[in-house]
Amino acid sequence: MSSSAEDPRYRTKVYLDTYLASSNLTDDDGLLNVKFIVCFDDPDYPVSRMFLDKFVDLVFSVGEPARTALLDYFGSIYGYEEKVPITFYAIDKEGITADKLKWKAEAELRRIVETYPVGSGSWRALEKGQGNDLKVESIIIRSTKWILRYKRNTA
Amino acid sequence: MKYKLAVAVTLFLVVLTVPATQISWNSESNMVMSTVEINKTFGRRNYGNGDINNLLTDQKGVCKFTLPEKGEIEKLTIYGHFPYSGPAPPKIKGVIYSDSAGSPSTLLAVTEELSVSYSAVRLIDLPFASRITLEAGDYWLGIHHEEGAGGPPYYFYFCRMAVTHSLAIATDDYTDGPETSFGAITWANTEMCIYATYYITKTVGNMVTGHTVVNVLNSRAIRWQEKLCFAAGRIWVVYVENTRVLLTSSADDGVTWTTPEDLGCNITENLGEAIQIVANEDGTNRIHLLSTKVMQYRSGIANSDGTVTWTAAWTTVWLIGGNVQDGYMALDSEGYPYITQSFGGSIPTSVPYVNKSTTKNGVWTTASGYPQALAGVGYTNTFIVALSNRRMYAFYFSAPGALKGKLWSGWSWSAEETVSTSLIIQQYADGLESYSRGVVVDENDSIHVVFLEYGGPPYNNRGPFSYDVVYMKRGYLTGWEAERTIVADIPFKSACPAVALNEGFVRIFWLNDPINYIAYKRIDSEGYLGRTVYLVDETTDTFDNTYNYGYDGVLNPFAKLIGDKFGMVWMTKTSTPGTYAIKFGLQNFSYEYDTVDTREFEALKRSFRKKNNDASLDVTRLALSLGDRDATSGQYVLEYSIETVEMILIDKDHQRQALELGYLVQLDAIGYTSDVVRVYDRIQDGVGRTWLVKAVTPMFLGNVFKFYVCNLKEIVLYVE
Repeated sequence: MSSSAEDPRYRTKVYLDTYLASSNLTDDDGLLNVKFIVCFDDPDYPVSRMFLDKFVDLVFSVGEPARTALLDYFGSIYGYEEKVPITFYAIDKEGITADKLKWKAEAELRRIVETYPVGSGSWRALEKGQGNDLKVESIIIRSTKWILRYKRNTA
Repeated sequence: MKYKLAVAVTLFLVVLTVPATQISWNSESNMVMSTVEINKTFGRRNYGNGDINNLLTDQKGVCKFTLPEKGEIEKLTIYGHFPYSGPAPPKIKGVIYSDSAGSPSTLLAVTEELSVSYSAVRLIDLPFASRITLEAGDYWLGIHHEEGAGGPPYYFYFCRMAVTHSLAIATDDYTDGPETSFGAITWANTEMCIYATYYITKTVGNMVTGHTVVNVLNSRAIRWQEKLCFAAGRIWVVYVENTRVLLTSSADDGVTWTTPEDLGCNITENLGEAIQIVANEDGTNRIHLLSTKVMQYRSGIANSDGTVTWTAAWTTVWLIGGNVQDGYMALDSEGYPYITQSFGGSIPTSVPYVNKSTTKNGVWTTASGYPQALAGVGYTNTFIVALSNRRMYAFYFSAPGALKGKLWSGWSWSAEETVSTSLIIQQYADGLESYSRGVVVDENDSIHVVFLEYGGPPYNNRGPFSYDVVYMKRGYLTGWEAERTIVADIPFKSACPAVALNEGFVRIFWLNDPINYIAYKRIDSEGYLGRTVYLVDETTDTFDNTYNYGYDGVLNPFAKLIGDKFGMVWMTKTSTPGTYAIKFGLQNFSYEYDTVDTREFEALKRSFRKKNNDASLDVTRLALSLGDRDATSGQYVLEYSIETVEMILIDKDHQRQALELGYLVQLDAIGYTSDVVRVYDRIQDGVGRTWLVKAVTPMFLGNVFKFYVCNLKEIVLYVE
């Protein structure tokens, strides 16, 4: 198994890339699919550069997970519970209201977790979602942060 | 010198003092935004292969269509006719019903009544007394019908057959108007050719205002091949008027133009496709002209005063007999001219040929073994484009027909490639001709083609037609990709698509959807198609959409990169009937300020250098750009390009100097520059320190850009 496959962020990114449906992530009038990407948190560039330089409309950003070891009756570790933060970002553009797109993204995230709870051998559930809007002077980057929780074995 | 806008936004810090109109989150982020009213349609504009049908007395029939956005409905338009003359023609009214669970429900609007006298097949407008506002959603559009006083026959409408449960019919006494509730429905499996015209208020970018190059009597003076080029610091436009070839130029971005010069070429027709101009892009300022029917060639050196020093007189480069089609010229990567041409004993038996010159000094010298046939008989249209390393790509087709092509590798021609599966439309039936195609090649030798798709004839060859703008790309190693429809159902054959490239975007232009606008969409490097941007508003002068040896030629399909702006030429009517204007427009798609004054910054530089023993202000800018995405992280790979810029760089230890200039060193250092710097660029100074640009603030006085103030954070552990 490659190291990247063991990375909970990578597992989650693959999960999102596999199931996110572009047809559910559209602009305000539903005529065009927005351009979205799934990536790890904390790139070496501002999120705004993705919006401006790469004309991305929606970013699903996968953060560093929190891990808790799961112990059996004898105190041996049989698995881990991992909580992976997923944050999505959008900004207002012509034809795209970021707040609307943020809710579409959230609905889509809920849909795939409800429809495909089993991914990569893990049972996934959304634990907590919280608004995470960033106000940058007069510009608001709409954002919501969710925690995706799942358990995995020690393999 | 031009200064580029560095949009200074990070997730954590932003300092923006740019006037609000200069920053937007539009798809074109530099554009000044304004609001205009634009007319659009929803419903069935495309008749397709269908049949004729009619309603009986006191019947109404409606079909469901989707209004994609909130709009003000002005009128319904139905395609049909009353084919018989008589004293008492039938009456119809347009109706709109709401939708409830897939069926017509409640009456929303009724148009004014139309008494349909004998008429040929045509589009018939049914206007509302005043506009009605509808939200986005499903609506049922149709007509309420009464036969004439003398009894049948009826008003006939055209429809598309075999659309299951499409037409809802109900009985409703005509005399007291349509009932509020639609009533009991009888379904029919046809769909009316009916659509609604509605208006939206649209926020648009800074639309180009075209400058008139010259007024002419010929509405197709710039049709088909390139009529625009850039050489010797001037913009050059060639056109046809009164069977003469005329040349004019502008040195002020197209605002004013020289008196047109008759180039003395003896052409025989009064249409723009008789002439083409191309320019070398090697700094020699050489321009080339091809008279495409009589195959005369002339070349010269363009001068900055608007004159041309011709190398030789017009020379017939190719003696062709029989039926000659419209030729096309392109220069290869080293400046050698190629010509494609199709001709034969008759138009349907035309054969596409390619010819080339072994000289590029303005005198044509036909290469050994040329001209060569590209294919067999049956291809009336040709064009050719240059790739790198002397490679070329030649296209040929017969309209309507699929595009075919061959690659010249530099030493041999490839086997024939099938470019498109869709058929390109026919504009001029007698010549099996089409002018609705544009082509451009990018730096990776990918070829980008647009054309107007021929959707096939409507029933009994009666309209209305509608057309799609189709885009195709050929990767040099990967071949032709699948067709992509950029715009569908344009109601005018004169949509005239064009394609151009800059800054990694493919921009595809068209006109007349909405009518009397030039609009475009762009495709980014990752293949994403953007929204429609309305670029040119010609609703005042309007386009000429009438037949003139083909429904085309209003927009020349070759948008040209002039400096870092796009130039294009198009034609409109004028206030004098029968006269037309050739217009030129220049659009800036980059981050550029219109008004710049660096005098204050120059004074700052002098003051700083005076205090610091004439120290150099040169620093190295590592300009950040985002490359491809990393397969694992999904993040964009950082790429840096290196350039030297001038910057007054003051670190915190020397804050007093900054304060003298009126600013506080907020982080580790502050930098002043009039060159382009963007957030997350890196700056390397002359003593080995590397700084991260955390924020960039463009400083303005009014709307005049003066300089940037950069907040810098030192990268202590910087590793090359």
